[in-house]
Amino acid sequence: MRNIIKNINIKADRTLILSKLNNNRAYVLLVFIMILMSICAPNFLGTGNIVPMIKTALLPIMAGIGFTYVMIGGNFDLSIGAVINVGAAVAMGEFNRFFAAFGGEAAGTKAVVLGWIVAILIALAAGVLVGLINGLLVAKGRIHSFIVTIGMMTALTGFVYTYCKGNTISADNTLFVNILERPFIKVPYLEVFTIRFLVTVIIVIFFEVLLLKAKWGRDLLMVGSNEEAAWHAGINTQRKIIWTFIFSGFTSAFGGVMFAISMNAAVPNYGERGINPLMIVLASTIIGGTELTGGRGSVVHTTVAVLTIQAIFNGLIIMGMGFDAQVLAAGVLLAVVVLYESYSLYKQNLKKGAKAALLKEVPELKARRKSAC
Amino acid sequence: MKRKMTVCVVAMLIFALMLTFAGCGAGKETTTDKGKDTSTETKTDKGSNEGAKSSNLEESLKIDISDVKGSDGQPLLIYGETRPVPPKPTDKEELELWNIEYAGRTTEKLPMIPSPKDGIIGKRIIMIHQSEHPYWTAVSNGAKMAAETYKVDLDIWNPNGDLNQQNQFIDKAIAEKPDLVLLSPLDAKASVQQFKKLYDAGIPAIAFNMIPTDEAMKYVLAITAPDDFGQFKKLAKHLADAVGGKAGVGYITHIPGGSPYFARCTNVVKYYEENYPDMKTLDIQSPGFDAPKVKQVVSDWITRFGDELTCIVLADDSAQALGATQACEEDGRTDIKIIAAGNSKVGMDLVKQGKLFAITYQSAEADGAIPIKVAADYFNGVELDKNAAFYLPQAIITKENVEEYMPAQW
Amino acid sequence: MKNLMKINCCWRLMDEEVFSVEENVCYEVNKDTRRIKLDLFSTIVTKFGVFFMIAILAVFGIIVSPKFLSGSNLLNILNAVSYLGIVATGIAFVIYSGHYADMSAPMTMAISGVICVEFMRYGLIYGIIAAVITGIIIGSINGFVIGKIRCNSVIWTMAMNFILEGLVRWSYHGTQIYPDMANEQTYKTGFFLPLMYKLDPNILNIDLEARAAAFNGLAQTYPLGAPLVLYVMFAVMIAGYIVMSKTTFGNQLKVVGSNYNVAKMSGINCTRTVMFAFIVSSVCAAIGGIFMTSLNQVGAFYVGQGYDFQAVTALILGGMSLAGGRGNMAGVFGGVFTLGLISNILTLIGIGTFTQKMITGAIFILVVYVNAKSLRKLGRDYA
Repeated sequence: MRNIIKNINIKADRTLILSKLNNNRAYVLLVFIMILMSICAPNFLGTGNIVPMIKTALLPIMAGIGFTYVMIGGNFDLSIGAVINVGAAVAMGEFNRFFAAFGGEAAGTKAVVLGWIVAILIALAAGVLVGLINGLLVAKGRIHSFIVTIGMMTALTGFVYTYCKGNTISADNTLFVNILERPFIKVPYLEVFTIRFLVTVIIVIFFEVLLLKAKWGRDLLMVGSNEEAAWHAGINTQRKIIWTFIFSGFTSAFGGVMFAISMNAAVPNYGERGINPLMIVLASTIIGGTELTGGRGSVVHTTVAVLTIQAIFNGLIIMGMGFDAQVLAAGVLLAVVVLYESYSLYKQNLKKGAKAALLKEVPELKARRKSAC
Repeated sequence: MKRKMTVCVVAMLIFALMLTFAGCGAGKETTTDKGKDTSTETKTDKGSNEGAKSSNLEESLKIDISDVKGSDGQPLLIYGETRPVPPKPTDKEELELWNIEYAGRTTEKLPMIPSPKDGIIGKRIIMIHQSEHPYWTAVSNGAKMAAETYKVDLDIWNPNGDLNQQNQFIDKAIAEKPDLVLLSPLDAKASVQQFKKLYDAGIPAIAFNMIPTDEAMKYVLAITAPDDFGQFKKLAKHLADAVGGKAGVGYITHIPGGSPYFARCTNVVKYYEENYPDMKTLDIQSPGFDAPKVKQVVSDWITRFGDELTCIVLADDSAQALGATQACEEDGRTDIKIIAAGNSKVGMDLVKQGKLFAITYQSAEADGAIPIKVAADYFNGVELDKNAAFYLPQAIITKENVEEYMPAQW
Repeated sequence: MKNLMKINCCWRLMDEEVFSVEENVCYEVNKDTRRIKLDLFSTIVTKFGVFFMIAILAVFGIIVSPKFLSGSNLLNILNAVSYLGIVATGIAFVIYSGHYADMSAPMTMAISGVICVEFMRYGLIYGIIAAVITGIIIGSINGFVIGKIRCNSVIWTMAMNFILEGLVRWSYHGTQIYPDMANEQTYKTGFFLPLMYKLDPNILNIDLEARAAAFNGLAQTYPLGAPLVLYVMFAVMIAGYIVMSKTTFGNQLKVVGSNYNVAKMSGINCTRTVMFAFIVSSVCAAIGGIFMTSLNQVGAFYVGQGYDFQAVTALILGGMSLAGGRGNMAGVFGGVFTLGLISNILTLIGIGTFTQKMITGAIFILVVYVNAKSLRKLGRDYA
């Protein structure tokens, strides 16, 4: 008898470990990829490789924050790629306008600082506005987010092209550019600490805490897992959904602003060639364990998953492989994760309707039969 | 639970397998891994060769490049002609165009990184190009051909059109400290930071294919590029002369965000305004490289303008050209003269059939090979003109001379 | 944190057990539809759907340009959207079955295009058969995974799109394949060309010119004055109409799309039905891909880019609901035609492509909003 109980306990433990592993699969995958790549790719862990890799990941990480929020609310936001471009273009264009208005080169640093503050605020406001429209249409208009954001994506792409007149916009003053990208200390591996990096980290932490520790975030998780139950519990579900879209617009625009400033150029068609940032973000949100139907997810996990995907791309490049291998690897990873997720759900669903108490006895019975043998 | 675990393990295995599987396939065509292996060797070689510099230089100078030919039978390693630079215009819009067209031609450059003058042979060069496209495959082929001729250790990196990725490559290149970097910037204005970083790291850089902005040219050793602006002026003149200087022209642009967008449309519009006032601009559209969409735009034009439309200027001679020619055929307007850029196989076939009036000759292989020739000159101690632009050989391909440029490079 | 999870679980359980009862109660008290005051505008919108939109646009077009109504112009519009129409017909089945979109359509187009070019060497008909088989294979994989294991369709097809893209690029080393090119180099790349060459080295000597001309001619044949691809689009749509509305499969699909669980309980083989929907989608994409490749005269990985979102846009305009089980083939045609019409009219006015995009996006959102609102006014819900 004692044996049986022990058996059951072991089983339960294993389940617990596995589910824990799955819940933290972003970390597991990152470690796995890191080990694999450092074996296969020479110099993968060198400072000359890790630092640029993390810098590359900053943009999708920023966009991923809002995207995770939207997905936790049970929606999609396909317009983030376009919002990144809007943020970048508007920040650059408005800076040039206000820089001239505040006195241009003659006014010196004051004009630069004022110009950037106003321009960044306008760009962020544009992102928030897009998010607000998306959110209103989804929550109040009751239209599916997939549709709303596809339309928004098309409209915004046109807007950016028109705004840029087909040209790349760059700021007339490069003072701020150098500050944003300058590392604090010139020590290997610590070179990554730039203002842009720190801002990203702070925003990630803020949104993670908001999601998991604050009442607001827990309410959102409830809205995502069961909107009706949340409504019955007295949560304003519509307002929650609108906020998720606003956050998405905000973080994407912010990411775009910082990306543009770090290069001192806003490209109107960023993401049209190569892998769309939308695709990277979508894939890493899924890999990070955010549930598609909403209700579960973590900003930090998404961030780690973005790093994982970047590590794969980076390692494959070092190994001398082309874009084909990168796309293939990203596709296979995504497919495996989705398959695993839905396969376990599928298994669960097979048991649906069966008597739960009886099911519990099955391993017991099996064990008994074994011991009898 | 066991099943779950097996699924997990199998998934990991499949993934790992896929990686190696893909690796074998990609490894075949790129020379990158070979470059990786030898990179350490060359560095040690250089140390021991300090004294034997001059012998390498003599050997390098002896390399004969006169009979190196591209796959289309045209000489690969020759420069095209350059145009004189007109004075800066004062009008703001014109100035913007001028800045794109003559970037770097009058720049006051920072002091250049001095050449070691120890010969090109065995130098490590990293080429960062733009994206994965048949044109770029041909560019890589040309670069490989030139690298073989000069016995250069060449790495080719491909960011696949992703600016973020290209920035990462720059940082990586700086970490690897090659002797020279060839960079085709994805975006002219974004390239300022890229070239500045390379300059600050003490690595000489040559810009190829895409001309960066004036600001970026301060840090750049030299530029080599197809002279898109000049070619299109010639092409435009050819067309205007053929129609007697009087026509209605519709323009289909390149995708926005690069110099071709201006060179292949705004440039021509300006040129006609100045020299052929009777060449009327009817409309400018940018449907991209989707053949059905181009077809629709051209059909719409034929409906809208009727007989007024007699010429079309395209930015691309494959998908756009096919869409445009088909639209003209369907509406029975084969009299419309169409000119386009580039010399892909599709475009040359269309010229041969008489469906396209003329296209430019832009050798993709030379686009990759000539920067290496400039690099060779630099390492061999040849004095480079500070503000020179090394353009590719130029020509206009029409029905008469199309055979000379066959087979197509891509 | 743990508490939170517990609460979460709790709510989930309640969702399944308690609130499913509540839900029925909530929605069963639907008002008697006969008593609702029918709003005229809403009725028109829901009754004629996208054709109401087309009528408005047509009036606008006539005002803008006198040549708008000419036969050649209408033919041009139809011709331009025929490629999209073929692909959209297939994706309509996927949306009809309650799955959001088939994001693997662009790569399916590209891959079937190149495979058609490869097999065209033995004759055009073999090429087409091979391409369609490719479509069937891709569709069955998608359909099996989504129908049986219930993967999220958007994510899975996106992953599939990545994988296919990697495969195509990998096997062609970033070059493109021309129908009329045959040399040693050509036969070293591709999916089946190396195999063909190994089996039959004489393949180098076959007369490719005529076959390539036949292949390239697919997009340039004009029976009765209209391009072939237009007839194909109508044929595909009519076939789609018959399958969707007149067959058992179509009815089953409607049930599966409207309510998956009900369909399952009533004994419909859901896996098979969903799988069939995805196969139809992939085959249509393959047919579209063949024609696109023939039009481009080159097989390459970039054929068909952007057709996934465009098709969904057209379908939503045509009155399809992402919730599934709603919409019809006339709507599909209407949606596709509307997109062509908008572009045509804006070009006739002389508006640039960038502004066109902005306007198209805005019109799209507006139409969907009006549609949703009128449906709700009439007491029906729209997702």
